[in-house]
Amino acid sequence: MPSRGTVVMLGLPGSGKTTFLAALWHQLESSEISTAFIAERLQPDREYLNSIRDSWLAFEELRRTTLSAEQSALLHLQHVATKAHFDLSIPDVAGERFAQQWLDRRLPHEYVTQLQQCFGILLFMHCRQIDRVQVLPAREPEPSSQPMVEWDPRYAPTQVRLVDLLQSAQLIFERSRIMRVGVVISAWDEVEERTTPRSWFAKRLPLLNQFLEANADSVDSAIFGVSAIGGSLDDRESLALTPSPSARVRVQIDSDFVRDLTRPLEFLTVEDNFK
Amino acid sequence: METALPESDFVALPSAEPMPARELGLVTAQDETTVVLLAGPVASGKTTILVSLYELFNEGPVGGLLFAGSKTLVGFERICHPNRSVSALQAPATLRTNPSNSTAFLHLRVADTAGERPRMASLLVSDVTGEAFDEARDVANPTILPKEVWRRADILCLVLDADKMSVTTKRQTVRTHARSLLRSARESKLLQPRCKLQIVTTKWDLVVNSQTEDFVAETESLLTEQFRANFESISAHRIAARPTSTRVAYAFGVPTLLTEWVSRPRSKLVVAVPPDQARSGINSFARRFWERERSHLSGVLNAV
Repeated sequence: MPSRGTVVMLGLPGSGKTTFLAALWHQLESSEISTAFIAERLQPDREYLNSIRDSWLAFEELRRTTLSAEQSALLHLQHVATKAHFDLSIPDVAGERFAQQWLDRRLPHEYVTQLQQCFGILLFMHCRQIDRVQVLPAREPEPSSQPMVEWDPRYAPTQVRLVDLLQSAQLIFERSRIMRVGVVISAWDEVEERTTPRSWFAKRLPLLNQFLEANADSVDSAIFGVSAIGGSLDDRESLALTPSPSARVRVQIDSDFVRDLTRPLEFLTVEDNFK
Repeated sequence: METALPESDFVALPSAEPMPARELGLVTAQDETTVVLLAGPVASGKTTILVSLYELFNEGPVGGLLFAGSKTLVGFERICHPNRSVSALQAPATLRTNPSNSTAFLHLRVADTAGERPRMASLLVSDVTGEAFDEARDVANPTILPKEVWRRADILCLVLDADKMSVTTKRQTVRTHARSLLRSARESKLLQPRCKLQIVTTKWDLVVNSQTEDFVAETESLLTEQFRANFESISAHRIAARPTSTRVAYAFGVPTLLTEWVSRPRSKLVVAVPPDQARSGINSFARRFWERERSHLSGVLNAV
């Protein structure tokens, strides 16, 4: 099992990648709660991580990572249960890159290199930003109907774009290994119904759900409902009263609730997944 | 849009548009594949079958089969656009297939999870234009849809328009054109003996429980009887991919069509690509993708 590699965070703009990374870094660096991984030593350059962490601590809305401001975070971790050591690189890539993949049909070389050797993928989606198809009710057209708006790739529903992202990743990923995909449904606190992440995912993104289920021989997936902020930023006053910032976080895995944001990383990195 | 990266730092992906015939080997050598030709006159409902199928998968499994991927997602999204509210249309419509795209195939990968392990299968479905349909009736060596593509078909889906058959002065033309195509295909040896024929009557919601049902049944019987010896098997289907009435459910008959497409034994034949059909304009990354794909294939592809 390799000890050094990349975790690739995929997701459209605003899907919660940077917020996750900020909260993850805080949990690792502060050791406020028990986590599956610990940061066994600090990396030399922590400026970016500290910067986004500070915004997260202050309940500031984290600005979307822009194409010109992409960074990569390096974490030196130890898995508590197995004592295994990991050096994880987590590029914080702008969501526009992935939006561009669908629109322009191209990928940066650097991303291809990361995918080829990564442990796995965290696929992010914001629970309130799922564009679904609205099929017109069938009826006879009227003579005075307005002209059709021409098709644009931007009209594609979210689940189609995400299938496209994963299909491309599947082609690039090393075939000697099963590709692990941790699906992170962010802003999970905004999901009003009592449900599990897997049930919610199957209902809201049925095409993507089928894709993961059908390709289970080559893609191993797990679904996480994550609230990295812990609630709405409008409620920051009450959120600030939690015993520690780490304790604001909520992660739902099936019917279990934890606070440990390293659990999705654990799914991707631990256990031998070589064929 | 600002990229912050020079052009040379990007690699291109496959277009995800409908696949030309010369690329079919990439699919047929990798997966058990069924090649389906949807053949019928203009506006008979061929494309609407594909629209309906893809929209069904967007909502969940179809006919017990899971969506496992597609190399032509952009192609599907384009044909579905007039079916959706984002098109600003008042009622769903289907764009006429571009005649210049007559040899393009849409790809669907599906999984049958009924057994111990998922069984994967690919479908390559060509929406044969009305012009190609007419030409195949008229000449021994069609060029719009070349013979090599006809001969690769595992299933010929012959589409009959129920709406036209409900008009007394038009119904015999529908039957005659269908019979004429099948005879032409037989004598020109357009299709392989292992090809299966599906006689698919579309827009069934418009004629259900009407006298046209009898004419449709008679047409199905006549065609089956006359061409029984020329196909591995013949089946008849009545569908309403996008009914305008409530007499039948949305996508009536489409799941059954799909399961028959997937259930027939498929060969792993590789589509022979004439050497002069060089793959022009394909960028180096796409080529590396496909070469990497080919390194895992057990078949032999003609060099392109």
